[in-house]
Amino acid sequence: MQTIYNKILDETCFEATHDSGLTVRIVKKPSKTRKTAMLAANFGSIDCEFEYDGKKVKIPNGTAHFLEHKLFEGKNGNAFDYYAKTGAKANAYTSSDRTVYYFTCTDKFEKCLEILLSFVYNPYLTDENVEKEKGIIGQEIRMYEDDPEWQGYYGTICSLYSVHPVKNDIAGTVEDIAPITVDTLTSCYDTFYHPSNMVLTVVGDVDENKVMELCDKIVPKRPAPKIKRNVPDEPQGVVTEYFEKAMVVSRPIFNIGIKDNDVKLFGYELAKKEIEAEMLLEMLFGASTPFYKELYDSGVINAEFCSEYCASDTYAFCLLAGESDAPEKVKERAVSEIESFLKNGVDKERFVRIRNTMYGELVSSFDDVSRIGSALIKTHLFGCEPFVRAQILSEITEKDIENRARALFCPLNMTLSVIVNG
Amino acid sequence: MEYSTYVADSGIVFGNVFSDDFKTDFISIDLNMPLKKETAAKMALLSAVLKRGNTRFGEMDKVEAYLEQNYGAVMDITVSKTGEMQTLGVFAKFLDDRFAIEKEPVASNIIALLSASLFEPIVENGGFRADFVEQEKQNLKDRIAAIVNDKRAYSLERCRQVMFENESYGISELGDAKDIDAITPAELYEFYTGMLEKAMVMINYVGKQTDTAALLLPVTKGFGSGARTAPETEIKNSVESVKTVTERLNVIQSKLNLGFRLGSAAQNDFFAARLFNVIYGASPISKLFLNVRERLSLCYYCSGVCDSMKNVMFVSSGVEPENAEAAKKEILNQLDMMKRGEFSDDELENARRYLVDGYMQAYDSPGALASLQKTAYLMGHMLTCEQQVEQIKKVTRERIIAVARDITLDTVYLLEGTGGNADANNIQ
Repeated sequence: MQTIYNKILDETCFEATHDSGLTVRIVKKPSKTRKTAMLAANFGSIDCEFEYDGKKVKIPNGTAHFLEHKLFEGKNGNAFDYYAKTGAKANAYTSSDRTVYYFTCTDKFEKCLEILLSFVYNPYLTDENVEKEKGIIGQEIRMYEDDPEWQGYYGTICSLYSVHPVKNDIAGTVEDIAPITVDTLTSCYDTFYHPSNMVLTVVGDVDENKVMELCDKIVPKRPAPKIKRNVPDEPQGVVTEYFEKAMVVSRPIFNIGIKDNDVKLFGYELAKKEIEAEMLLEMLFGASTPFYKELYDSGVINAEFCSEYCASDTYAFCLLAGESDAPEKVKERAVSEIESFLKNGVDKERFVRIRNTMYGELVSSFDDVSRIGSALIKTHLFGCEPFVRAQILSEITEKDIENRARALFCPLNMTLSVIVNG
Repeated sequence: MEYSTYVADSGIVFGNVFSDDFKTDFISIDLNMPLKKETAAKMALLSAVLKRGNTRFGEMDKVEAYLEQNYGAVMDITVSKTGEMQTLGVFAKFLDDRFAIEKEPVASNIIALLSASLFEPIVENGGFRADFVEQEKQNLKDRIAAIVNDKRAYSLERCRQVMFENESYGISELGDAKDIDAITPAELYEFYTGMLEKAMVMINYVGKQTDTAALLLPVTKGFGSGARTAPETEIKNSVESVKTVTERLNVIQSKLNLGFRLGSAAQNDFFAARLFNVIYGASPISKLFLNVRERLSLCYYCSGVCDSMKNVMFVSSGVEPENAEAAKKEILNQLDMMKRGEFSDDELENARRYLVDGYMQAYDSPGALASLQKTAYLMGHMLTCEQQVEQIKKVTRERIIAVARDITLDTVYLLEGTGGNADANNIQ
């Protein structure tokens, strides 16, 4: 077991690769009452074409999410029945690039960890329970179909990406999931739920040796499959510069998407790119900027406005989202802000402020065991050491931000999606 | 960790939690007033106008820059309701001084900002700045209208409006859009000065500094002194006849909401009511989740939430239009089982563990600790987190059955989806 200490945060992470291939990351927080464990598979909605048994497989959209639902079911009952004996709060989620199962508890941590490892590593899939789940997931999908923010978000991604599977809705449609069978789920499970494609993160007042003992007891040791994902190369440019959809909304909801073509970065480079882009967005569009003040004061945007950067090793994009009767105006103003930044470069004072903010948020996040657990997963999937963000923030320069702006905005691959009332 | 709650000579209630465990500190200042139709929109508007800035630090962009400089501190001014009390809340979360790189006094910097935001607003001609007021009136109207964007929240709000047509609990914390236009900058300013005099003020601090009297002085000095009492909530336990309302909207999924009066047993036994809520509806180990969702596959969510201040419960679920009746039948069937005591010892003990764990998890969150302390004061039991856990451990099966037997259905509100064929809505 390796010990990684970070001086800036004054935190220590224990990291080990278990015999099964599973990566384990533990941050001990003796003063905390809550404890958490998160078990993540490097398998999300973008992994829809891969090789299994020497053959190319294409699975329906929504399969990763479907499998997440099904793993909770075991031969002798649902995982929630077991968690119920502990008081723990448990759940799971699927995103574009990962599936994460987790719990938080204040008591009986080892029991909870045993439950988590047991249900994820002992799938129980039957024709009957797979069919039954289609009703529940169908209603989850219906809920998202009525959610204008989600629809606007997906409208934007579909406008940015022509072939990359990030454009597929995570849960799929009711029609997409209809053909899913036990075989579909098994092919995914065998491929992506091998421990070597997963990471376990544990945070709280825990004993690291007990964690490893439970892994010894439960995590299966089997030969690792060769995972070959087929992710098509995404061309430059956007699919469409404008997307519109009518739903029941009070006021148009807009998303401005900017596609980042500087992809295929990994490790430190990827984590650094993420911080640079996050800082850049704050410096251009945050609540202290002239951009925000002008649009807010003239009533074009309201307090709902926000910006976000989303990155993985095969895709990355920025979003500016909010409510406005004049989304085109927001887009125009954003473009002129970007152009002036490319011309004039970084404002030194603003750079220092935003770096302070990022540092403050990073330190604060180490107050919360759940946020630490999630960060440990993300840095692992990025191929980084656990405290990489602290290191990057201590080294980052104005020049880095200026270079990032050029990589991200030249050429400017931008789209506008609007959910209008109707 | 050490707690104290006390009422100062000024009439202000202080709730402190002293702890070395956090890297962030938390401060909230709540101004509580009765929830009334005449003033609800004014308070909501006031919260937005106060956010526009102050004479000491400047307008919003300057305030935001100051927060960024102070390590990304978060400050917000919100409006909310608890029972029939409306609250204007000013709160901040910020990095504890010991993590400041240049040893800046972050806590006092932020308290100075909170003080200026509350007591030094930007005014002109005896009122708030007219352009701020005009714009925030429009923003507030937009915000009230925007609730329809979230169909689950919208249908629950409609259910509340139907159920509490003649009670002030039916008033939204944002007020009524129709009352907004008439508010003038001068009237709003008068309302503001009145609030500083009359509102029941509660200040909560979570952090490691123990001399809070000195630390918090800047956020107390602008309030008038005198007795301040918490607004009361009127509780109604009987139901004459069940109200049933169905409305239609062009969406795909229908939203079913059932409103219940909890009755006098719950009113007198807060902790038994909390356990009832977990066994019946509030969690993924509850009867509603296990039966309406897992056993019958009728929905993705079906859950119950209680408001102890008003002594009511709402159950909500998203279903296919043709399944609404089946879902309603099962929701009521599960309640009948609770009334007959048909829940196992396992269900009871699981719910108890679930609740205790929920209380214990609060220890790690400054915001959750402050919130528990506020509720304890407002509910009048004044118990600490540990003491509440002790009460939960003592609740018997009989007390839970007594709570269940007193519960009455008041309102059934269905938002019926007429969007029908989902194919038409898929993104191509």
